[in-house]
Amino acid sequence: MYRSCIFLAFYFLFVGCGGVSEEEAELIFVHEVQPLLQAKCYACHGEDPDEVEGDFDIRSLDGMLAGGESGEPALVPGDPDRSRILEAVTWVNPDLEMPPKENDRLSTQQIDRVHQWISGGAPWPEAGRFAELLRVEWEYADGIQVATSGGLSQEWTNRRYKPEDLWAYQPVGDYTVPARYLKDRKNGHPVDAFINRKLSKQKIPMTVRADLEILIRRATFGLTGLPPTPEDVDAFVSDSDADAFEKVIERLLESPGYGEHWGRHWLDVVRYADTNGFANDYERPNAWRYRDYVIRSFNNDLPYDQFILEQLAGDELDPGNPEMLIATGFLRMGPWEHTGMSVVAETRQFYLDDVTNSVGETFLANPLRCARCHDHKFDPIPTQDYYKVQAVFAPVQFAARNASFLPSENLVGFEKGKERLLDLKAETQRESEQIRDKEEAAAKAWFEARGKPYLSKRDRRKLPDDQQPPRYHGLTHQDLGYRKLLNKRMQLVHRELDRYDSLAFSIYNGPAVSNPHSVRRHVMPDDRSGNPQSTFILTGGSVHAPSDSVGPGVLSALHITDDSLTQNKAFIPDSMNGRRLAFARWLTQPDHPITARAMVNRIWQYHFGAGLAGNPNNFGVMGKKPTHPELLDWLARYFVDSGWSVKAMHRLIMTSEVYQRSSNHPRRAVVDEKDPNNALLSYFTTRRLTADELRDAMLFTSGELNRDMGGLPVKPEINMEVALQPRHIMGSVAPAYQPSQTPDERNRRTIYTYRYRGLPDPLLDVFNQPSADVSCEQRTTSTVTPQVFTLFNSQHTTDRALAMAVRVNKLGGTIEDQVRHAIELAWNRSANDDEVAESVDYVQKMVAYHTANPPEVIEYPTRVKRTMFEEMTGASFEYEERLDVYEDYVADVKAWEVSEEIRALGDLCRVLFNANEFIYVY
Amino acid sequence: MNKNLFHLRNAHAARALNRRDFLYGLGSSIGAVAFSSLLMQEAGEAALSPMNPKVPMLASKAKACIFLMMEGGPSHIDTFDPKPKLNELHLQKFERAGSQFSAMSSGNRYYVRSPFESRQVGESGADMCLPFNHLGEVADEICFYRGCQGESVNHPTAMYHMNTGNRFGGDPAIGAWVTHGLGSINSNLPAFIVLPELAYPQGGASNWSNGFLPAQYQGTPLRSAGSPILDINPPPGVSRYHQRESLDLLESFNQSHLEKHPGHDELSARMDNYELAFRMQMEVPELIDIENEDERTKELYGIGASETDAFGRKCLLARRLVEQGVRFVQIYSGGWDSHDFLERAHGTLIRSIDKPIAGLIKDLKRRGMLEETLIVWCGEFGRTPDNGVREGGVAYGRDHNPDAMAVWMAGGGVRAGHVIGATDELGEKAIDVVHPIKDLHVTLLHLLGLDDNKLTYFHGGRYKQLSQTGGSVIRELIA
Repeated sequence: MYRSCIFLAFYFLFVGCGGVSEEEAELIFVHEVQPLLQAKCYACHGEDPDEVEGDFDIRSLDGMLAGGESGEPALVPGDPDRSRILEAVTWVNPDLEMPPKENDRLSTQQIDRVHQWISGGAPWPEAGRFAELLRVEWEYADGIQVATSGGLSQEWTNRRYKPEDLWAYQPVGDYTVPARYLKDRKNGHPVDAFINRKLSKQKIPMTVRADLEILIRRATFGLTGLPPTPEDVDAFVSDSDADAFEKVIERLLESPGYGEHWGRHWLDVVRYADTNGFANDYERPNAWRYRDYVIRSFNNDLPYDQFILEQLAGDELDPGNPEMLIATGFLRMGPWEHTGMSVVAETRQFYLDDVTNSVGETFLANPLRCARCHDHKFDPIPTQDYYKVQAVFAPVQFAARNASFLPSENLVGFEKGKERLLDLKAETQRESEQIRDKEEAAAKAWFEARGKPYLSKRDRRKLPDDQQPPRYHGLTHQDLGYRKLLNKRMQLVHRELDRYDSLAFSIYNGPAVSNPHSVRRHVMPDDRSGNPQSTFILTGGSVHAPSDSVGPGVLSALHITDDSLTQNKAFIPDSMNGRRLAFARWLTQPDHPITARAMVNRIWQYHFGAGLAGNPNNFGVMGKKPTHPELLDWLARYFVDSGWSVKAMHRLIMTSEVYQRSSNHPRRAVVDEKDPNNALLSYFTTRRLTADELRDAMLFTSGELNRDMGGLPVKPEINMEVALQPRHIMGSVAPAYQPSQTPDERNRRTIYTYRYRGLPDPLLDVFNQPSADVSCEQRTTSTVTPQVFTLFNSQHTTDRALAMAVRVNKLGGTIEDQVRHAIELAWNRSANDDEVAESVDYVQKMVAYHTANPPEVIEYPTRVKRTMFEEMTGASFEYEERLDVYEDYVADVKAWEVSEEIRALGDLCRVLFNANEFIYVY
Repeated sequence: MNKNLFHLRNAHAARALNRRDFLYGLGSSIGAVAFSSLLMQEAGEAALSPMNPKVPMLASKAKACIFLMMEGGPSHIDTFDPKPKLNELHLQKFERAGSQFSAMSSGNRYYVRSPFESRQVGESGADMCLPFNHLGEVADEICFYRGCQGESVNHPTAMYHMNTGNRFGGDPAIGAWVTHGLGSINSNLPAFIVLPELAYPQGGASNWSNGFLPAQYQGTPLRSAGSPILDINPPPGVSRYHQRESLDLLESFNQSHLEKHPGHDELSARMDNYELAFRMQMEVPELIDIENEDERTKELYGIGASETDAFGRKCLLARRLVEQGVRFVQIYSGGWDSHDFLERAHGTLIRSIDKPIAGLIKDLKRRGMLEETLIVWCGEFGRTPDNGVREGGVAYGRDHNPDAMAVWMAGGGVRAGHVIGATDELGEKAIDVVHPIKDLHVTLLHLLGLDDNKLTYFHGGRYKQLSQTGGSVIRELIA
């Protein structure tokens, strides 16, 4: 409203009253047109002298008047209709559409400004006058200015923003609950008041409360990522207490599954994986301790401000506490690798850029990357601030730091795993020695033939070529390829042996490191004296083009309050130590405009499928605006007031009517018309299970899920073809994927499964598990055909279904009883008679089928033959890889081990798993 | 285009739902597509579907692309950009140092001559090293480009760069962008198919990722061994009858469930997906079975000869896929990273692709498909004229070099029979018609009728595009 009034006044003044005076035109140019040209045109028309598009330099009046290669002037002062620049920006001529990018097109308002400027004589004041005019308060300007540390240009510094675009930079509002929208003003729920107000204003009817069976399933999946048991459902449905649902919420919040599920959400945002990614995809042998730290933190309801402090600066906060060293693993969660082929300056800068952006996305709801090469195009974040935030992390160096295991950490499988790796190491050494012996025997013969004394490899290395045997002398191409493989295997074993030492995947403050090769354990040096790496504004983001140096700082547009500045809370020391802690303290001030909003928005999103602000990683100009800004602010205050308790937010949100609404709406057609995406929440939006929930729910339902918590990542069975398929890593092929040996070891929750960056589990991948390379603010759920192949045909489904059949069959009773029980387990409700009748009929047919078609016994392979193209020789070479795990493998239950009846029941369970009722949460 | 496609499209035309939506899916269910309106469009293909064919932005000849990706960094010097000067400098020593060089390319260096003779082929007189025996016959269909430069000296980052425009991965592959821009013309197949080596390249499936684009646009690998699409075959012991019974029961469960949840369109979409999958189980194996091609055709691609069989099969399959309306086929040839034994390794690889590629071009041409198909050949970077290891002329090879590489294109709309751009005398660096990879990408899109500046997608706070920040068309490569 405010804006449109201003605009109308402006329009009337300049357009409505006819001509524009030259002074007015000057002001329009300085405040409006020049910044527009700079933002939209300079890049291609002048800024890069090597490449001026169409030979048209737009940066001066002369350039404009001269025009480009067409020879026509682009500008005729006083005559907008004959000015080609106006023709270009209006896109009336299909051959002259500027700026060429659809999304960069000028708005009508911006076009009007250009029009006014030209009709006012197109004045182009020289620099002195320009600066003077810039200081004139531009009362008709659209939008507001924001004080920052300053952009690369004065124009950027002075630019204006629409007030509504800066919502996240404004202090969190203090709103009263609009109680008159509550049915019961005294006992009503604040969340309902805010939500219902909007529905009521838009005249959208709301639906009824969900059925109890549906409600408990929704709450159980929502808080723990698992389905309820039939006992849970019965207990809730038969509980007539008024606070029956509150009891359910409390029980779920206290269950360990809560931290596992909400920890998963956090790990999506921070991009957790057990490997580095890129060429070698080396293991991060101790990363799991960070994963478990996150789960613990959610289960203990660690206050969110403390959670931030620990992840950003735990080592500075309490260096003697292993937990704190583990927490800072956050700073290394992105993909990263340094090999012999990498350039140190580049991989270091890649890290600094990555951590800066990640801190922005995770805590500040702003992908700071956008300000790396230039001042932020949309948000009030100058490049200077980007590098100031980066300077906060300049002292950070990687280390596997000694951090004794905590009593709560799960160390099961350490001995067995270590023993296996040592065996593998010995075997690899033996094989390497054989090849080395062969090479040295050939070398001996070579020296002998020339009548020279034998020299060892080391001794002859520096000799001229003609005085030593040729490289690879005496080795076949088979030997060469295999030796490379063995070398790589040895590297992997050494990396993996670090699993069993009490190390944290962590960091320390120190000067630059000269060789951070990923193949080795990063060790914290005793001598960490020296200066932290200096930080420079990098021109165009290139590490090879440093310009001004900057010290550590925060986002300057986010001055919290004047008070906090005088108390120096925003001050970041320049010293080696303490930068991150100061930054984290700035971030966790109770009146920080973004921190609390960002987190409550995430929590809201995971409950309702969409955040109040639609892009949890981006509250900037280009992010979706909040649908209920007052509610968001109210929640943010509630969050801080309740001691940053995430569990308190769950209690608040889940006890609202809004959360408990049915997903059916009696007047859905009316709602669809007014609110097609259900942004106003008149009913509960249905969601598909995530990949992790799907796998976990199948294991839970089949009775196979081992609920142990934490510890080294486990390896579930994955699609066998993918497991055995060769996978290139630098210079070689990765060893075959082998699952953990026993069902108990491998049938754990998905959060505990080994997360390779280079080898996604196809089951999870096809159900939209996000890549661990990019922060995932929200999982997508597309419906694609390969999902059918996976869920209907895979060995995973076959095995889960059969295990479930065994479970159901154990209860005895008639087929009808068993079918009834299976439906109850799978769909978390009692079965109806039609369903039971149909199922019994199907099972009987399948019993007949299986009687006629006995199953074939399928053995797991204990060796796999590999054919590999050896790039050194241009020939294929073959070898056999031993699959040691399968030599002593305990398989899940298989078809040939059970009766026809159980196999038929397993077929039914497969269908139940595939049903919409299993895979959607209502 | 062909009767197969016609048949497939009509057989199911009566279906109320546009089946195109289901193959590579219905798109994000989060507000991207309004399902209700989609469901109402019975006649006339729903314009809202992300997989519908779309009108190209620009007039163009090419309707599909076959992208031949030589993974590992094929040497331009030993393929299409020979450097006789290296014969003079062979094994001369020099030093290279500086903070921008990795351990691989600094220190003592030795120039290395090519182990291969070269000759000029075709009317254009393009240079071609000798192990290319057959490709010379179609040289005048090819536009050779010597001006492209990358930025990354490391395999995975360079691969990501060539495949997705972003060195650090996570972004959509070219094929995903093309599918996003052009849609699909065969509802039974993915529009973007990858024919990888048995071993996936470094960086894995991220090389054909849909990135932030909807999942329908992801490249689907047709695996060269085993199950072509994972789990496309029923589990052991499950017959067609068994599957049909199971699907019927599922349908019945889902149907009564749907009645209890009116207005939940995603439920019925998912139900139809099962029927499509059931049919695909039959159709895909037929499509990839090249045995019913005639012998002459198979011979043309070198199928049956041990050296060329594997790559020849992929090339022939690519033609069949394009015939069926697949928009983008990427074929991998791996192992080009010849740090040593350049002669043997490059020699074998060149022979393995030479006849198949020549066969592909000839076959497309005789079928009148070449004009509508764009063929691209490249690696992730070129190689250095020198090597850090001195080894009496046997084991030497070359290191990575992003400053120069060999790229060529053939077919739809390219300036066939020309050599564009140049590298310096030693092949160290591109010096004429020099363009970054993003310009190659923009040109490729342009040839397929797409404007990189308009082919954008809102993600992470801005409209993203293949070139990342915009690039220019390399006009010299266009007819």
